[in-house]
Amino acid sequence: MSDDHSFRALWAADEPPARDPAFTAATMLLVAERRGRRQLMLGMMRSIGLAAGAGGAAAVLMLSSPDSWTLASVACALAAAFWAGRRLFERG
Amino acid sequence: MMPNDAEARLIAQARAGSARAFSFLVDACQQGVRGFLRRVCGDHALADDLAQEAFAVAWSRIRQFEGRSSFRSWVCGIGYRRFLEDRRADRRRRTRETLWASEQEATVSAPDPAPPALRAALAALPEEQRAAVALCLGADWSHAEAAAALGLPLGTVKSHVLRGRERLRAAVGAGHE
Repeated sequence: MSDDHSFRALWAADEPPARDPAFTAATMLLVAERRGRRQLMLGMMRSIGLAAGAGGAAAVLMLSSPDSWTLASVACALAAAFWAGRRLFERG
Repeated sequence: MMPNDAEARLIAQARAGSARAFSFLVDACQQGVRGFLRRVCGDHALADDLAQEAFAVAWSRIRQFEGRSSFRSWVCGIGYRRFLEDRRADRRRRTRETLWASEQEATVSAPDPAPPALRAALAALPEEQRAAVALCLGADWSHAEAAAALGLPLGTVKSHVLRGRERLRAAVGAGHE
């Protein structure tokens, strides 16, 4: 086992310090960057999904009864989806 | 190393989204993770990059951490797998470019300050054996903890450490003679 101690002593030179605030800060910056990117992607996916859902629903409504009330409600639905998507994108 | 209950508390807070708790975990574990990766890859700058990457992955997967091993060994395992992926990608790249001899000099940014004979002997060990030796002999980890970090059976880690120790002893002995 004394060999193990001598190996450890030989390797001691490349042991990082027990506390390294610079490394921790750099790591947390990377973490924050990744988290921001992930939230942005999630926000974009949500808004794309919402817009696609609203668009699909609008298309079904228009095909089933293309009167003026339907067109107005479709326009409202699209506007709401666009607004919600933008809010999500901005929050992301 | 941090007491288990303190670590568990910080992990619970990090799971709930506390970046501050996670930064305490990084601070407490960075020495072990970086030391291990430095011995495994022999390049300090690359090892620190791998360690940062491992911590970033650990943050994104903190909800998957089941607490069967310590947080430190979980992050070491992530870093080790990342190192293996990097090595495989590097080998493929070198095969394509066939400029490996000149690149080898360019990629080693900071040589390991350990004695040359020990460094060469460690670098000559197979990857799994080197990782087991770096953890158990270099950082005094238990075989069980190293097995959990590397995702290897306990018996395999023990035999890697035994064989690795013999080869290092022979190399360092020859270097001193």
